[in-house]
Amino acid sequence: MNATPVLEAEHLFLRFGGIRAVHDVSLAVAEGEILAIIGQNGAGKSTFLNMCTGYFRPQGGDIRLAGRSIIGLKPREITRLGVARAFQHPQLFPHRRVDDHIRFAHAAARGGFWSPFRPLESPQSAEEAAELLRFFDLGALAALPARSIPEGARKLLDVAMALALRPKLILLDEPTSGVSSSEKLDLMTRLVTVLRARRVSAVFVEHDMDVVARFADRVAVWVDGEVFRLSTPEEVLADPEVKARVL
Amino acid sequence: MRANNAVALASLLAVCAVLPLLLPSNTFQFTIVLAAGAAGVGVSLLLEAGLISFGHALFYGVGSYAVAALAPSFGHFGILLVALGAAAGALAAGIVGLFMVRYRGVFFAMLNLAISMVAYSLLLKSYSFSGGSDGLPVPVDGMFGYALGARQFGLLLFYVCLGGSVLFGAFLHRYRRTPAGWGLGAVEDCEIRIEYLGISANRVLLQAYVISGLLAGFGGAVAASAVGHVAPDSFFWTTSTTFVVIAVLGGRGVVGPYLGAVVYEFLNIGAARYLSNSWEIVLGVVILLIVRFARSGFAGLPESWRSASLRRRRA
Repeated sequence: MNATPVLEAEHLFLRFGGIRAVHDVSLAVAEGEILAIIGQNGAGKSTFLNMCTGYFRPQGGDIRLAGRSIIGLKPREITRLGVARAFQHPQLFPHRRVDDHIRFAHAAARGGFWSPFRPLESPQSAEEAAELLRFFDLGALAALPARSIPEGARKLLDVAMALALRPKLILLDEPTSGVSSSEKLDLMTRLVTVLRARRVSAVFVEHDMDVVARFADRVAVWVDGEVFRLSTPEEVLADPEVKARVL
Repeated sequence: MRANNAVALASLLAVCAVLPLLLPSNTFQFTIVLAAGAAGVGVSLLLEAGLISFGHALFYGVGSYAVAALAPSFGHFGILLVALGAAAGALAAGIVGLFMVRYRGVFFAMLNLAISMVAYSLLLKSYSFSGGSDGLPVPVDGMFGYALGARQFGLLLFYVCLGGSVLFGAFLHRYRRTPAGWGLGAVEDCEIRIEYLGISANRVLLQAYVISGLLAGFGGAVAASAVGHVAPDSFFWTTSTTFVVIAVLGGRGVVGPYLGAVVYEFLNIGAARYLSNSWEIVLGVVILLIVRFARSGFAGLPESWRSASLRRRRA
């Protein structure tokens, strides 16, 4: 395992007016590690993800990707450094074919995006689209416009698009929200299998403790903008204080 | 491209190619239709990103005035002048676009309008350079280095314009299949996702803006060569509106705006002949019908008919 963490947050601080959104947060994510963030609504979990992607700029502290500070960079610049993001509400192109989403993300991550002559469809992008769609069981929907597929599939497509960027780190905001309870475990099993196979680190915000217990390597418990506990799922979920304040 | 579409397009091109031979007295009108259609394609390209420009007369005018400025030196090289006029339109779009692509919606539309009107006013005031409201002559009488008679020049200009339109059409057909061309429509759908894929949405728009300026500049250069004179009116907002109307009538794509330009110009000519100064009423009615019954413009009619026929069969 590489000694330098993929993601390091150090003494992060952010207020929205009088509200303390993130306060003195420090944590690190190692290569290939899957970190879950749990906490009540409004605890600052999504704000942390938004800071890691450059959407919010911290008022204090530092965020480093493989040792390099990303404070002040735009979301697209951070994406190009190897951070992909999937959203709580899938951000798709509703009128476009499902497989074209993957091809577009594949092209975005590789050279030649701006060439007015290189087509979106290439053997490599077709292969990537076929692999990811097969993996997330979206193959049958490949030719459909994204607006016409079910919510669970939209969620998977959002994640698949992020993975097509071949990131070092993926940030997932409530990947199982809006997905039926019977589909949650299947979705996470598929997702974590891809992450492990590609050695992608992940940080995911989650409310389902069963999902957290099964798939996270470590869990950060967020309370009032602070990391209240940071440990293995077994320890965190058995902690009486965590049970009282969060669960 | 489907085989049916390819056959239809080839037939359409063949008809276009023989029109000036069948109706030689209308060659000038056919050339103007192609010039306006090219500018309409430029406006239509930006419509794919959900952006409407009420200022593309700027690039049309730049193309025109570039030809007027260079014609005294290269009057026998019409094809070079048209190419340089198109390049001038693209260059102007590249400069203006750096600022313009930061805006969306009504701000984009109005800022385009504002900049073209500033250029119009400057041109009116710069009499020594632009000839003021009188404009400038465009002494072009040859295409490939030697002088031609007016009729031969007009005919050759038409074919140069038709050839240029085919080349631009082929280029745009390919461009739409590139990641940046695909991303143009995606900007309208979900701009934030594009940014989170590591791509600058503004840069996607800038590339399209330059292409659309190239097309408008090409149209302006052809029109200036055909008319033999340029005036500040080519920068005026009514010219921009013409291109928007052509794009709306024709619909998105390459062929659509050319169809829009045909309808617009021949409504203009036909209705003006019979309804004197009230031809706009006819145009207004046509636009109303298009908006009500064919939102995708003329280009979208076959698809609308196919969908309606499918619905009827299913019912």
